[in-house]
Amino acid sequence: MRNLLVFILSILALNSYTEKLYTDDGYRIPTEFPSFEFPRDHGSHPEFRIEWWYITGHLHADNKDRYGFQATFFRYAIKPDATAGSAAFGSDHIFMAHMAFSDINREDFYHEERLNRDGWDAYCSTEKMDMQNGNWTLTQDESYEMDLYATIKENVEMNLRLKPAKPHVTFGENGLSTKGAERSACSWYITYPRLQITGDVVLNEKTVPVSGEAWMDHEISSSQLSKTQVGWDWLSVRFHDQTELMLYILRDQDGNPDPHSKLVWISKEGDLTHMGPEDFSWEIVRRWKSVKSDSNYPVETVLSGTRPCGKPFRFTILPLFDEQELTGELGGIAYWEGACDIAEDGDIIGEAYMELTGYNESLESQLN
Amino acid sequence: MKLTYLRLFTLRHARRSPTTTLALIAIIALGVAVLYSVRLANRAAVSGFQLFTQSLSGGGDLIVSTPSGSLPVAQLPELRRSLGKLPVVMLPVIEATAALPGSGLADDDFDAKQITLVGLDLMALRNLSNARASSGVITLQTEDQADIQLGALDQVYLTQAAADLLKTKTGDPFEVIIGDQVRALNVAAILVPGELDAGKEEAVFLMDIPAVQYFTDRTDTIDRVDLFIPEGEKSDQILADVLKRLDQLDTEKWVWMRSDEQRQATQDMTAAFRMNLTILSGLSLIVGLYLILQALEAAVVRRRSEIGTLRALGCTPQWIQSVWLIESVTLGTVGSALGLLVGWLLAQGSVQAIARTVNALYMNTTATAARWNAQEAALAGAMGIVVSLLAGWVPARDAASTPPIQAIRQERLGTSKTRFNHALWSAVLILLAWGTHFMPPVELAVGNRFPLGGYLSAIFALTGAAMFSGTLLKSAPRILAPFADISAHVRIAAGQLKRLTGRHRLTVAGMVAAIGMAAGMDILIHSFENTVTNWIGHTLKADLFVAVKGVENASNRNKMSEKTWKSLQNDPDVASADIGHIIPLALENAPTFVVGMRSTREWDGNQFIWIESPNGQVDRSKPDANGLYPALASESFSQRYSVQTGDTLTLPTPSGAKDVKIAGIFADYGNERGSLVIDSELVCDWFKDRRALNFAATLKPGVDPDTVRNRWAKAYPGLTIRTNRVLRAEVITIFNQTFAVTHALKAIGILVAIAGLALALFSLVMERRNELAVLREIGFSRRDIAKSLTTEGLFMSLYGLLGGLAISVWLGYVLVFVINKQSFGWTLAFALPTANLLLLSAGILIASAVTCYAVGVWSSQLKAEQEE
Repeated sequence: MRNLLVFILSILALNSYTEKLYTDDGYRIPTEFPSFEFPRDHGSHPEFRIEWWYITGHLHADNKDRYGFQATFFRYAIKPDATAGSAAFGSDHIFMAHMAFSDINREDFYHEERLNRDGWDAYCSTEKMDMQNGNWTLTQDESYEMDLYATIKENVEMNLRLKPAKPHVTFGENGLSTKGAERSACSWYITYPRLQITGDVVLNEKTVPVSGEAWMDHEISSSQLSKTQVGWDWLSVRFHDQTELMLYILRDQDGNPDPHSKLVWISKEGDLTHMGPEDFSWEIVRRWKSVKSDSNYPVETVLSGTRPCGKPFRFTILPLFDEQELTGELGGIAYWEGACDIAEDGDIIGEAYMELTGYNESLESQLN
Repeated sequence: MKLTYLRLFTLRHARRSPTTTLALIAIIALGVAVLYSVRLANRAAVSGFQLFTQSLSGGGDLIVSTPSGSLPVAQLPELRRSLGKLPVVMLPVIEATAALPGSGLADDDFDAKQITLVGLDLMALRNLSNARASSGVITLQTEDQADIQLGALDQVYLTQAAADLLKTKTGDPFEVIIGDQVRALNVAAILVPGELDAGKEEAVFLMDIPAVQYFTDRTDTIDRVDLFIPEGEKSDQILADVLKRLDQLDTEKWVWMRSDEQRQATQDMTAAFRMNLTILSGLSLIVGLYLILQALEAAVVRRRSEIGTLRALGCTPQWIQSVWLIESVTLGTVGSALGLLVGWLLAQGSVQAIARTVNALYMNTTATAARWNAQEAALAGAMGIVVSLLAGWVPARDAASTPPIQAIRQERLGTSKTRFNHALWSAVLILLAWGTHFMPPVELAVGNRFPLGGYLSAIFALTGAAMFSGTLLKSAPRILAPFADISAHVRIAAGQLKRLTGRHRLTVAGMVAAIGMAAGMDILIHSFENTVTNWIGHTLKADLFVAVKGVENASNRNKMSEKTWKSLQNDPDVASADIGHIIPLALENAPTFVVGMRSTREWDGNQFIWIESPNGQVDRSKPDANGLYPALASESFSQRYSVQTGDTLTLPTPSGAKDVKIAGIFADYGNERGSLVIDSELVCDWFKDRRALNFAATLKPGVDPDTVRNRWAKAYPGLTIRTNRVLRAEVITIFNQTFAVTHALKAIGILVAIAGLALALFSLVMERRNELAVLREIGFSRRDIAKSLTTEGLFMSLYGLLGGLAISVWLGYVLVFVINKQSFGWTLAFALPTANLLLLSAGILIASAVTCYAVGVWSSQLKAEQEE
């Protein structure tokens, strides 16, 4: 139990694929052409083993202060041998949540992790997006606008209203986002690529009205990684021209991108263009070594390739400061998740959030 | 030079008279040992109550629960909402006890070892790292980093002490009794000393919270929530904000206190008990003081020629006084050091007895060992030294004030007349004793009261009587006069008693005090025993008594499930059953019990011993015209909450506030927290708990209780089933264990009385050795001398005994009607232990005779110039 995330991932990775639409231990496997019904499908899907709601965004204050934030709610289903029947202290699901806040001008990074069982202090509705973990809440109303409330220890309080500026999209061919060769290594991947934010942040007792934009993923699966995959890099970009980009690179044991890595372009209209690893390149420009976890993160990178329109691109991903690492106190895995700018030809053309995992010990080595 | 004198004077004496020196050291050691052991054992018994979660990185900052002590989990979201944004980590806790299974038939099941079973949310536990950054990640620190199986009903984490007790290791299966069932568990891991057990030596089982809820049939409730405030600069501010928010909660549904207050409340709960024990054990030091005084005075007598020589050599009276005081302090220090060691050893034995008393009267405790405590050691050691110093003061003054010539002449000391009017002062003290016994008790925290007036009265009475008896000794020669013709030794004894010395008076006074204390305690114990036996006869009428193994008191959380007690109730051999639903409750911040007695019997004199009987028959399940339900208060409850028949009370319950009206007051010697009896169905409904703490079955005529007992023991291995005979015997055993300390103090009193007499006689004959030598010269045999001394000693002993017995009646009265009543709220029937007192008297007289005769024989060999 020392490394809960490792534990979760080990089951994900080692879970053998079957031809059925269920895993061996009875969890559903996402299929193509999902028939989503909203707002229900923004809620929880307990028949799947793992699910998360992942919001990352940039905030701006009137005084030009900039902030970044990450709010993640995980649900993980477990099936212990014997279950005591208590709804208040359920033993069917674990809810993990990560909250992070980057004070960019002062280069301060605040983060907190939570781990709770299904029950009185953590839950997730199956009817709509409505979840709680301790005093952290994320809810969606009938107009699909969301409210996020979170605190980070004694330092940060966020009270944000998130309004979809574009409709949600579903990544993957035929609605199925594949992550590996195994049939079960896939997910349903629903994303709000651009959310308008208004609200307040209380930072060290000072209340700051903020506005900005965010990205939100909702991923549903029962198994994602292949046995050979040791980590991933993920990037979301909101360009100033109202287009967006999402990238995930699944790295194999040799450090090469897995063939199932994806780059997805989202047009102003919300149309998706999926590209494989053969269509782009990912170069490391600079690394930052964490003294806390000893991880050596490639915090500054260059993403290059060809746009759907045929025009080449070369984006530099610039971290707004280096020390944006979640040290994995509860989950057991340290990772870097930070606010970045996107530059091309010296111009900042958008805001991004980048996630870098598996840069300490490889996930593979931890799993075995 | 003076240092040399000091060495010669003091050390030489210690070398030459090792027996006396060792005896003095032993006396001091005994007093210190009793005081230290009682306080240590007491401390251990009470500290066993410390909450397990208080060892979690310094423990929670706040403890939140409900007045009923049972917190419905449905209320938890309200607590979360009330705390709002405040970054507080909430850790729900449920506690129970597990007992190791026995045969189910053995009478020693009553001693089934209890182990605290703590249910924590093993997942939420990890969030503590958000509040306790300095200690890093809070995990189940185990040797093998075992994986948690959430909700597992068979996985238990053991502290090292628990593993040692069970002789198990990780992976081993074992069985324990939880609730009323035998449960098969596996050792998931042994907790290594760290945040979770903080090196505690207590045996604790830790399980996931739903498992403990399931085992205890409490799936909808827990005991409390511990709140952890994040460490840091703002923690005080956050704590203040949290308290502000908690203050807005409905006080009928919520109670909370800071964890340091909780610890204090635990201390407060037993404050009166501990103070009583301390005073009683302190008395042994006080009577020890009398012995030391006697012994040092004897030493002054023996060494008078040395004092004279020193004075002649130019040593000042002040220097001589200092030498005596130094000697006293040295003796006190050595005796205290030895006493601390002996006391610590004694404490290991008495901790279980005291823990049982604490268990029976106050709360669950699982104390196992009394640990050395520097603070207590300092207190007991200092007491030993101070008492020695005080005891040395009078002899030191005598020694210093003795003129050299008188000292060298070996003249009798202490014969000088004083202006001190013993009779007058005795009368004043007796009056004070009378006056102070009317004093109301001193109110302490959480409903406790301390009988200051009772103790003052006892001390005044003892002192007054002791003084008066010494004065009365003047009448001894007149009483002896008619027998003077019998023998010369009677005449000699009468002659000695005519020339009364301070030592005679002091001896009698000491004996009065020691015998008075011993006999007074005997009266208390006897009154208690009589009352309790009568109470048992009244209340324990059923054939079989059933409880979950290890259950010793009403605070116990191990209870029988409804299924079990219903199944017993419906047994074809059972004619009728009384089933006790007992709920601990915090009323006006003081802990007490609500009792629902499920019985077909009426609330009448057959079931209760009335202090105030109800007016007519009570319809216990129906409210009166004002919506008030009837309730019966125990005497302790009535005293603690100052309620009388006709008064109304509002009870906080999980179903909201409920109003009851006191219909009557009954005697109950089961606990000092008091209890309120209400209709059983109401109790079960109001407190949402249908489990039963005990079950008493009356069997159908002709059914053999032992047969049913054996059958039930096999069918319900988690239960202890006692027949009426066995239970009565156990109650008496517990009663005796509870009074083990007082018995020991009684024995010390008698010992001191006899030793004091011996020392006094020893000093007297030392003073009279020239006279004794003359008597030998004129033809007195050793036997005659011994007889003469025995007569003299027996008369002192007789006066001491009569005075002691007389004052013991008053002391017994004060102990029964003032000290006991004010401390515990129990009315006892005063009963004189005639046979015991006769035995005590005979024992003292015989012991006195033997001792006096032995001293007499020894003294008859003394030569005039012999030093010892």
